[in-house]
Amino acid sequence: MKNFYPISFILIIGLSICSIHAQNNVISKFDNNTQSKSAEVILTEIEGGIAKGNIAAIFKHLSPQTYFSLTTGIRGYFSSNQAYYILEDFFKIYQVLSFKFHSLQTEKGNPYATGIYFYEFKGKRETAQVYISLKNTGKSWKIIQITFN
Amino acid sequence: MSRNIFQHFTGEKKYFSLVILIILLLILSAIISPILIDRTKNNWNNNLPSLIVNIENSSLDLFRSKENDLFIKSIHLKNYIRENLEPQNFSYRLLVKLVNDKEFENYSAEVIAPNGRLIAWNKKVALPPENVFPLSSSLGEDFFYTGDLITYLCVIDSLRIDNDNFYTILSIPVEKHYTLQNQYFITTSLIKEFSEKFLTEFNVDYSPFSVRTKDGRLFSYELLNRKNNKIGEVTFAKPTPDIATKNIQDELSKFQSLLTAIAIIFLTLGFRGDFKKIRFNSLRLFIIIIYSILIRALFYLINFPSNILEGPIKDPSYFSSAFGSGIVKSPIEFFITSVLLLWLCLEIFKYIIYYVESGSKSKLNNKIISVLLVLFIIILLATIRGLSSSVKSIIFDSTLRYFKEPNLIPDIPSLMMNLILLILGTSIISLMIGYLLLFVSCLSNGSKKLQNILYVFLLTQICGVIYIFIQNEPLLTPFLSIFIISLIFILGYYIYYNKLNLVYIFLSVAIAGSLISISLLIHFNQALEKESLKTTALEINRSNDNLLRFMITETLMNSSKKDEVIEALLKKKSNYSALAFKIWSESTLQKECINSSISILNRTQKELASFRVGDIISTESYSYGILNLTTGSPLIFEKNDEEQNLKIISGIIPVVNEGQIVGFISALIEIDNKSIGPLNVPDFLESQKNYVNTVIDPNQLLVFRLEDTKLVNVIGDIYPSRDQITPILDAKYSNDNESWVILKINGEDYITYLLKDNSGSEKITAVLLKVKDISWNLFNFFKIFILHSIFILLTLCIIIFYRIKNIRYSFRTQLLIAFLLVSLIPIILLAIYNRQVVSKRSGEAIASELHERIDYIERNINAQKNQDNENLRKKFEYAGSGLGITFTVYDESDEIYSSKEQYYNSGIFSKKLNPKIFYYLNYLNYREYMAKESIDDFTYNSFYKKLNIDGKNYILEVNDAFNKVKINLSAVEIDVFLFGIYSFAILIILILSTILANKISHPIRHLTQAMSSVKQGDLNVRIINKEKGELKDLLNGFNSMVGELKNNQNELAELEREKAWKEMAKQVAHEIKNPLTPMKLSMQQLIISVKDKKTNFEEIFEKLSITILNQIENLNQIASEFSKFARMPRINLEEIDLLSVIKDTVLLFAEDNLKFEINCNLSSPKIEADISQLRRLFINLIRNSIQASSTKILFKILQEDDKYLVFITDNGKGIPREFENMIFEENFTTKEKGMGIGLKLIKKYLEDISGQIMLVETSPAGTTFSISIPRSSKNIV
Repeated sequence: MKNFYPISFILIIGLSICSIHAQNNVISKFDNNTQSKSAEVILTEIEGGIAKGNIAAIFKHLSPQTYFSLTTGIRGYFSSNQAYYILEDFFKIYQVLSFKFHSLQTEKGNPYATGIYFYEFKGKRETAQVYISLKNTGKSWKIIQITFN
Repeated sequence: MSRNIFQHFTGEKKYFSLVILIILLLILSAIISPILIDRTKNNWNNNLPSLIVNIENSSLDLFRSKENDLFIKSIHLKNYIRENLEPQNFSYRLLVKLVNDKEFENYSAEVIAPNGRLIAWNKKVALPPENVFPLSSSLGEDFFYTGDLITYLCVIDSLRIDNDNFYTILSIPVEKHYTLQNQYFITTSLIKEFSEKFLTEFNVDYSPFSVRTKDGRLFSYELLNRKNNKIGEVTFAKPTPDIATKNIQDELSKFQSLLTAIAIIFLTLGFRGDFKKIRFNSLRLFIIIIYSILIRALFYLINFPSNILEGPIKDPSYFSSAFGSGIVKSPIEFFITSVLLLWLCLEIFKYIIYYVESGSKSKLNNKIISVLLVLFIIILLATIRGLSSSVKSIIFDSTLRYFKEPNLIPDIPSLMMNLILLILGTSIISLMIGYLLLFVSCLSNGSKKLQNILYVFLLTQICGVIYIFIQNEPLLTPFLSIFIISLIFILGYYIYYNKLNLVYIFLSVAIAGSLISISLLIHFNQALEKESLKTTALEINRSNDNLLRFMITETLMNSSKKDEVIEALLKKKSNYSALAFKIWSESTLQKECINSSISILNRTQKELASFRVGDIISTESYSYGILNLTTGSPLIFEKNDEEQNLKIISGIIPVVNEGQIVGFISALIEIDNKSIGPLNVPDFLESQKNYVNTVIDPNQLLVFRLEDTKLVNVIGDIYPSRDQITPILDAKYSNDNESWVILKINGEDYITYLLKDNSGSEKITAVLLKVKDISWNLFNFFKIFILHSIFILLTLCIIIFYRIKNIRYSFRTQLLIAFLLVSLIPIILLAIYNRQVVSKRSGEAIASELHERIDYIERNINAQKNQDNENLRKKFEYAGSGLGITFTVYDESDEIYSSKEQYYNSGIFSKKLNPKIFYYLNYLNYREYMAKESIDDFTYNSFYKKLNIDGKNYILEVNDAFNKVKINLSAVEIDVFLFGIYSFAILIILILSTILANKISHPIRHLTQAMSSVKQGDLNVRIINKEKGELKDLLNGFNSMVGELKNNQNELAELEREKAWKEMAKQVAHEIKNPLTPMKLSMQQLIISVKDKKTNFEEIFEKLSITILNQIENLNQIASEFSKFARMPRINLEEIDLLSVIKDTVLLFAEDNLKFEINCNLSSPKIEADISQLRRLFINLIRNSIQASSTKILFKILQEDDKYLVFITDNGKGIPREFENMIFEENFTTKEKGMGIGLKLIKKYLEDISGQIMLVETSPAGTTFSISIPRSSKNIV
């Protein structure tokens, strides 16, 4: 009983440090798996994602806080966690018919692309202007703004 | 057969019959779904006409109901005026009053005089008098009137007063032709109403000259008024088989998921009885865990309730997280998950409390306790981190700004998220207290227990702080960690050492959960605000020209193709101001709330009108010169105004009709580098979305820009000194060129984010936010705490409502109610009074400010009399620009000047004076008047004053919609402070009242219980008390009385015994004497016979010996009777319920500081015994336990063959080992005043009914006795 509290204390701290270290290792490995691609490649991947309504293809390029402006009325900065289901809902309501960027600017420091999103809404075929811009996070290019108006 | 099946479903099982029914319905719906879809597709062409007719008729019915309401109201208006306006008292003044009656507040009512002048109106004038004549339709006939911004359905009727023909006009808005993305805007749209109701796209052309569509995909019908005249054309998209089948599938899917959810509820109800019968608490808990997980999984799979709900609570933009693959993907999903989590945590918590209270634990050695301690601290810290992560997600994965909401009671998603926060806090805190109770119960019960708990507390605190420091990204601060752990230990200690009702425990846990979760919410909100400084710095430095160009292009492209724009430009006379506003309102310029403008230009590029938002300085950008624009693409211009520090992006696009340019539209965005966000945009136009910072109001931020250590730009109203910015220059920057410092400016601390740009010269951008003081954090705290208090009180009310039958109106309850009433009534009255006083003061402060401004204008205009300024308009302009005050001037009832003319020209504000003001200033001759006015849901204050210029009266108006008035506390802030403090006070009163009522009623409750014990024959009961005054006298009096009663009873018994003995001795003597006389006589006769040697001696001997023997038998009988008389009282055997006897006995000790648990899975264990003896037996055993310092007693009843076993376990100090074998001996006792007969009598009594008592085990941790009693013979089959 004499060493009861000191031993417990050492055990707790030791176990905590081990678990945090392990957690950090996993996170850093995950981060290292993210390959740095050129802005053009990323925009092309996003274009493909939108054209197929494939959220996962867009989701992986979202920055922690992305600005959304959608025809549904959604507007503002959203975390990547939120963005997944916002896009899922959007693609469910405005079902994509076709999509292609008609303008792609990657030369300057702020790569962006604009295009026309052809979709079906309540049986009617309509279009929306799309604006997507990227920012460099140090390791890779991430989407900073998505506009479907 | 089905009858046979269903007859098994009785009681709770009847729910299974409903489940079977639902399953059958589900199967049926699955079968008919493809059939229905096939039939719909196959018969589509046949059914389409009837479908179209159905939509046509239904939409027409909807319109007719609006039309009828308008007509009824129109007739009512006419009659109302006629009834109240007698010819003898006819006056325009009364007419204005009548038209402004509350009955017509939802309509626009106007009265036109025979000369065509508008003489009475309410609200906004829908149909201007100049557009009334010539009448577009006959009187009493409804028609559409499309104004600048709104289309109305109107009815004009005639009204004959005093031989004059007046006209009444009643209108109702049906379509707003603009939209504003903010909380104040009220949508009015017949088209939207139709489209949403009939699930197809509608369009209504509000013109009698509209033409039918030729598009085969659409269907049109003429909208006829009550007199069958065409007033418009309704067009809708014809239903398609794809949409129809999709609708069928969606509806069936909703139906099926709803059925499945109902089936789950019925299944739960069906199994409820069986669940209650489960004897093992651990098994019950395991079932609950599995069941709740299964329910969540099932609800997730069938997408319930998201698929049957509509509205913001299922909108992921309010909250969503990828955690758990979608179980928290929207507020409603998060709510369902958190409710199930709460249920689970509370069940675990309840289980732990029962387990801890049962005291049935084996003694653990120190090694095991060490391991448990480590586990306890690690799990506790991990759980705190889990809770912190969840609350962080509530802040970071949500667009809801919990402390920025303008209303005291927020909107539905905020309300739901606040409820989730409380649920989450309560769940996790209950779990953590559960861990603590579990661990504490493992510690030995010795005198050092409290000391050990204190050590554990300190160790946990130290580990908590160290845990924060060793993390790379800690979620908490040491202060928060200490606060959370302290609260858990305080509450844990309170629950462990006090006998508390479960409701009180849950109430305390909910309050603790609220305190902790709100503290975390404030902490993470501050983190988000801090993070937003970073975003702001990035946004300021990031060139956003691409986006601005995109916005201009998109706005111009969309607007130039609109028919309304083409038509307006083709017309010679149009309200181009209104058109410019409509284009702006529907563009991203409004949605993003940017300083911007829209201009309408004619074909020679001359500006016809414009709508400007924010303080736009640039004007020259509209002069593009004659551009050769023939295509549909806009031309974009960019300009940097170095002098004004402005960035201007503008664009122009031609409006083309049949290949000919009919005009141009131009758009402009002006970014003022000296400010963040829009400047001076009225609240009713602002979208409340700001791309620079969505978290904090940009007006609260300060931005300093430095270039090569020199301050080059300041955004905000504080210009810092060189000393004040020294920390910026001395800051150490990270690899990402960023740093955080605290700047002290004018005695206040500012948290500052620094971003360095080393390209070329060294540029530093500093974004500052004032550090909130404690009062602001309290403000934030109360804002959420009010809601949590409401939720907690509501839950409490529901619990009370359900338990109302079980509530005893005891002295304690009456005291509690009295305390609450006495404290709450004055508090509520005080709150209402304070609210009114403060609100009145705020109103007065606003009035005073506006009054002051109006006086400035008046003085300024009067001062211009001496100047050579003949032009009235110029006088107003001069006053407005000189004073920087926005005002409006009315001549009679018509607007003649406004500093914000475009708002009147575009139709946002009415050019007609507020009728109420007209009434007071014109008819009642008021000099000035303060009015509350509104645009949709936006309310503002306007101050009106009569002004005399050059002998002519005008009305001057200043409002706080354009002239922001700063008051110390807004209405919302006052509400938050007042209601926050009062709700906190109510909760404190609730807790204090409960404690006080408990304390005051404690001796009375003790007395009541003691009286019950006396009634049961227990005269050993005594009330130990530390009371003072009358209560002490009462309780001591009771003790003396019971003592006296016992003495009297003993003396009486003694006297009775003595008397009985005497009587018996007399009787015995008498009875003995009776046989002795014949015996003596017989013996004497026998002696005489022997002496006389009688011949018949043998005969005499036989006769006399018989007599003697008979008398001896009599003596024997007398002896037997005596023996019987001296026996113990006779046992009165009857069949009784052992469990109810124990329950009744336990109730006698309800007021003692004892926890009882009766563990019995038998429904009604019957025995044959004397009920009063058996009750005395249990009272005796419980008293022994109390005298051995027990705090908990567990009764466990089991059945074993033909007998019942009752185990009575206490946690007293136990029986010393050397006395274990002597406890059942007569006269043995360890108590000072004991007689040593209690256990002996118990043993004797049990033996009398063929029972047994045994000491099972005894130790310093407690004692267990076992009692066996035979089952009732009637129960043994």
